[in-house]
Amino acid sequence: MSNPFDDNDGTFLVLVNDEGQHSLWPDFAEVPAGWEKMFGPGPRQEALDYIEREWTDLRPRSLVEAMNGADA
Amino acid sequence: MAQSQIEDVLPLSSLQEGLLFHALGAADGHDVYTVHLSVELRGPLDPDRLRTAAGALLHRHPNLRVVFMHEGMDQPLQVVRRQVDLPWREVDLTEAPDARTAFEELCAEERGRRFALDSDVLIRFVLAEVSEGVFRLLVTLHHILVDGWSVPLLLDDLFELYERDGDPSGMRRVTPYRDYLAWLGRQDKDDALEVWADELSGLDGPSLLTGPPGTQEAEPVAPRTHLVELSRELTDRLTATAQSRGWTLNTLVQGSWGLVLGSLLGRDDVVFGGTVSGRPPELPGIETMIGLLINTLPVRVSWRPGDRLADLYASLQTRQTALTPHQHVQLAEIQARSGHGELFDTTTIFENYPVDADTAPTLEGGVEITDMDAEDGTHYALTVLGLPGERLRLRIDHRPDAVDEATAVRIGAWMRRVLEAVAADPEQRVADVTLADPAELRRRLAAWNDTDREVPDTTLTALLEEQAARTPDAVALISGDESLTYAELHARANRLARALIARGAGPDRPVAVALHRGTDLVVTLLAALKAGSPYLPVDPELPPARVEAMLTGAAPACLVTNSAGLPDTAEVKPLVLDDPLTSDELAAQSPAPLTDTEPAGPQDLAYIIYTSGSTGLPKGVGVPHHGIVNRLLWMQDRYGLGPADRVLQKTPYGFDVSVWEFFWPLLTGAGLVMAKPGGHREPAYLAAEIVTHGVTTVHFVPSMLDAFLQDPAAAGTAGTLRRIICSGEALPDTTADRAIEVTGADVHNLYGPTEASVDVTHWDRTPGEGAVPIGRPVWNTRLYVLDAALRPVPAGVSGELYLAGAQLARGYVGRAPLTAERFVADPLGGAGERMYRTGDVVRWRDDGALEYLGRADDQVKIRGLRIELGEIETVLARVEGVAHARVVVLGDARLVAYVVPAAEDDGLTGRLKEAARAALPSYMVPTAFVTLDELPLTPNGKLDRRALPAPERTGGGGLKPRTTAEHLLCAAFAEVLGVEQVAADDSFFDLGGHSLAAARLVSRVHALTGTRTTVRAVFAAPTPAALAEALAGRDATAEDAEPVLELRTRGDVTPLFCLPPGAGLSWCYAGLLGGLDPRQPVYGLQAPSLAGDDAATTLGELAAGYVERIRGISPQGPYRLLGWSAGGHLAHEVAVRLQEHGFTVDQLVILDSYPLPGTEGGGRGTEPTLEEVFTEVFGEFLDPHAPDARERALELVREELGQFGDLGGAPVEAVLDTHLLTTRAMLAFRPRVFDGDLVFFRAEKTAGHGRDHTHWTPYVTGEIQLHRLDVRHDEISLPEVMADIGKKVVEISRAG
Repeated sequence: MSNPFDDNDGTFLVLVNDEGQHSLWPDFAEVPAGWEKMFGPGPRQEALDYIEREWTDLRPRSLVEAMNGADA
Repeated sequence: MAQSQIEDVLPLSSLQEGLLFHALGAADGHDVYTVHLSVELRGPLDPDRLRTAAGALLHRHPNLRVVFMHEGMDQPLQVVRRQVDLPWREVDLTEAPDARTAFEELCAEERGRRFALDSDVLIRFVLAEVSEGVFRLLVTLHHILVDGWSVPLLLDDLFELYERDGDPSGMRRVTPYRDYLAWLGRQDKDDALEVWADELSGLDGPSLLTGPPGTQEAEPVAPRTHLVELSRELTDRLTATAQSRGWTLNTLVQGSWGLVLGSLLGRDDVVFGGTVSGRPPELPGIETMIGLLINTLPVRVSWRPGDRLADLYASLQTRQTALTPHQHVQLAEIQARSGHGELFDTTTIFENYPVDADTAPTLEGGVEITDMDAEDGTHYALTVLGLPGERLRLRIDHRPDAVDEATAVRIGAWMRRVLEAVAADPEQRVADVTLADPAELRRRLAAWNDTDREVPDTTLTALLEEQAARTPDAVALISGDESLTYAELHARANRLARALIARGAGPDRPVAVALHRGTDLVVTLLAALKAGSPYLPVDPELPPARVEAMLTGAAPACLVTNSAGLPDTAEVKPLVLDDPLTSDELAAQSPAPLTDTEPAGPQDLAYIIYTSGSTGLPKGVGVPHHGIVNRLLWMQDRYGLGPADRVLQKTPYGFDVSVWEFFWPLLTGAGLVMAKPGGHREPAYLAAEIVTHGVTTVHFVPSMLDAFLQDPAAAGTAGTLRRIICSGEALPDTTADRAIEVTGADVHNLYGPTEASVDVTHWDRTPGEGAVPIGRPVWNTRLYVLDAALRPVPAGVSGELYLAGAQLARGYVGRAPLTAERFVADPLGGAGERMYRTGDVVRWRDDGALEYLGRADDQVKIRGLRIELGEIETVLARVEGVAHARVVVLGDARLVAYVVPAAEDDGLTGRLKEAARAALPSYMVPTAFVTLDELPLTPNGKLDRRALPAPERTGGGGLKPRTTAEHLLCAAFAEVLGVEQVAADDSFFDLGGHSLAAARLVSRVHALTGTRTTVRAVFAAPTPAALAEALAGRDATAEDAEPVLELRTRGDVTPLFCLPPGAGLSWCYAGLLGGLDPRQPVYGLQAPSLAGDDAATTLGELAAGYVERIRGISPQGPYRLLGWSAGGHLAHEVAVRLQEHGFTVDQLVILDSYPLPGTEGGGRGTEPTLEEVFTEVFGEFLDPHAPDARERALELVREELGQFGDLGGAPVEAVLDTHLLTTRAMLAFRPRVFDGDLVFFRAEKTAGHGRDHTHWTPYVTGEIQLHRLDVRHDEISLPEVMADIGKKVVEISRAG
């Protein structure tokens, strides 16, 4: 079975949740609750390039805020 | 057959050839290609008139009168006979007590009568009157004559002839079958096959509902049937949709079956059979031809989840139309071209026969045709039959042995759903069509994933420190001779934590750890956690390039190591624990708990563990505290460690199983026992550790568990070991049950990826309950099995496993795109949640347990270690001079690289090995490199694994073995590696050996020689010569002297027991294996005195002890016995004693031993002097009373053992004492009489005075068969001489 996330010819979105976590997402599937489209529909590589550019801190946003709060 | 009898001779159509081949292949039993028709007729039927009509029918259609000839011909032929006798029978059942049963018996009888294709008329009729005015006409014919399309035509013709009293004049003209054969001869078969090859190109593989090919080559059986009837409204809508878009109803049925089959198989590119009428429209009259024209050909349906339904059906319609002119070729030929073998085991048929099935005709005189049944067998697992009418009906015919009733019903429901969906909206996406009832699915999924559990919002560090405060004086850690209490362990970790913080450690700033297993390792991991850092294992065994990649990727704040583990890196400044400066620094730090520093929170990372990455770089999985806390608290709740428990830490700390090994005991007050470095590979060492330290809990990868259980020492852990936790690869039920049987421990099977905090499912093994599933989710964890459209699949259907819940890792450190590809939005969970896609293919059982089926990608596991083949391929492809590189896993879990060089290149293999070793951990380095001119590809352009040549594994070209020890080791290597021969200088690992095989080698060497070696020794001395030398250097101990050498334990030939010569050691007999029947088990008995048991002093007592041991192995006999030298006497006496006990002794073989001649009764029966004993033992005079006598004797024994290559086997002292004891016993003994024949081998070079086989004459009742060996007495122990003896013994056994 080919996995829809691995389909190099597929059309993809990039989704983001409240924690700033990014997800590649196949265009054919409904966007799950709590996720927002940030990119697409577009080719897979472009979606990945977008993620590489935009998602620079893998920590969940709530953790980053807590740490910044602690520093402050 | 007379010439005048022959009307015509015709070739066969390719379909007929296929059927003929099938029929000849299955010469007995029910012929699946027997077609059986039953027509009910009510009213005043005239049987004679019907008989005349049947005769006229045969006359009208020449091809109902054929026989098939094939013997002695290049091509089979069909011969049309001018005249045949009509096979017609009338049966009256009106008087039968039970007409229905009688009729069924009649049918069964007809069905069971095979046709002889070369002589019978291949159609026969039975007219049965079942009750007054009710008849049943049974027509039985062979499928090779006609197809399903022809059947209504045939019956039509028959009844029309009835009405015309058998006179065909005025009936429509018959288009003869030969016209079709002529047309067929004009078709371009090669061209058609080319078209089919194109149609199937790129296909992933066959679509088999019932598993791999071969399994459904079962006997054909009558199918069961499940009927689905669509409503009139749905039928109308489907018809309208089809018409408006130019599709046939057949296309609708086939496309829908494609989707359903895909769902059942978890695939999106499937192929199945489609039955076509095979009637070329350009041939006039073809539509009313009676004959075999129908064909079953591949129908391929593929889609992507985003495709619209309309695209799928339209594409199918277009392709099927384009294929129509090429429907005349045989399926077998298409399959042969495709390279996949049997492509499918399901088919579809659409019955658009020329006669309206719904309206039955009425015959003249008021005879009504009231019921019609056609029945034929099938070898397909399932057939979907489309039956058109006002209400479209789908008949699911299924072989009951392949598809059960429930599945057939489910398939029917799914077909209905797909057809409803396309009728409702052809423009909807494939992904939007749900087959199983989605509400029902979600309900079941929710029940199976009901794992919510309150878990404290805390960190691993806090849990560990709380435990230390509760039980400060309990033993926390045992490592070798060292042992630390909880207080001591934490004090040391606190000091080190302060030093780490001083170097920048803290939350999200990793501490790399490069240490061998031991106390320092545990202290350091704990210290890193206390400093707030995630720890990053950097195994000192890893190659520098890999270490570099990890340190660059994770950017640790510091690196803790020692002088033995120090990696060569400029990336981080190391903290070297055994540096005196470090000791001073730590001594100056406070051992008190850290209270004034920034602690890690639950969302911070606890550790970063690297795993293989498919793109050539390893990837670091960052696991937060809350994930691993959930996992560890679940484990404690589930399996409950207590203060008395001890957990063995043996998994290398770069693999995440080690995480629970370290921390589960330490957060529950139990003890952690550290295995020595490398010790995890040594079954005997592990067993000893478990017993010595009272280990209750241990982890095993199943393949290692197997190796452990094979070692006799494993049984010693029974009573100590309480639980065995398995994970890392599929757990065979036999392994699980054997573990329970041998150790008495509970066996638990766990599953999970590093990306979800070690394990996410669990299963407790109950012996004998069948295959072991991976089980159910742990706390706060949801398992989803999804199809390619990300929809949940129902139980029994395979899909890919996705994980959601508390244990998900944060992601891959520094790899955002990779993280976003694998940790994706969860469509089934709460808002904004993520799920991890595992790449594992699984399926739900009906009870909600998961079964593991395999991988969806190129990841493999070898001995539980996760490997992306792509990573290895990338490393190899980067080597200069490489055009292509592929890596595959062969049979015995061996990684083999296939490389195509860019140009002729002698040094390439060397460079490849070097590159692999420099970049990859040792378990990822291929064991063989094979260079090819090109990679073999399947017709679809994929790597053709079957065409890959096996790597050279035949060693043996090098150094010949010189000593007995080398001979034995060469044989043991060859056996374990499964190769013909091994030379003394062949390396175990070059021939494909790996650590588990090394563990087997260790067991084998032990079995053959009684000598214990270790996996570590094999790694250090990997050739037979080197290993023999290494073993020679060690001092043998009494424990080495096993009472029985199991030279060969398997086989169904009567076992051979070999009795030891004077020295008491039996491994000289290993040489026999080279000549004996490989199915004969062989045991070598060894003297009890070697192991210090010298209770038996007379030959009789010794023999009694051997009898007991032999009966322990084979309680009832019959027995075969053999002995050399003093062993000959022992064998003789053992034989006599076995006969006394009433057992049969099949064979007694004595190798060059002689009773004392001359004296009455043979032996002398008196105690020999010490001088006599010494002379007998050493063959030269040695004054036993001289002051240096023992020293000199020991020297001689050493020399004698030297002949065995110094392998040892027992302490020299014990060997000397055994020698003296046996010899004295032998000299004093008086042999008794053995009832039977004696096979005697005489060493000619030393035979002569006092050494003659005839000395045995008084002690055997039968014959003495003499065989001469052109050797000296002592040369008999040489492997080649023993092998000759073995061969001779086989010949003798055969002749006897």
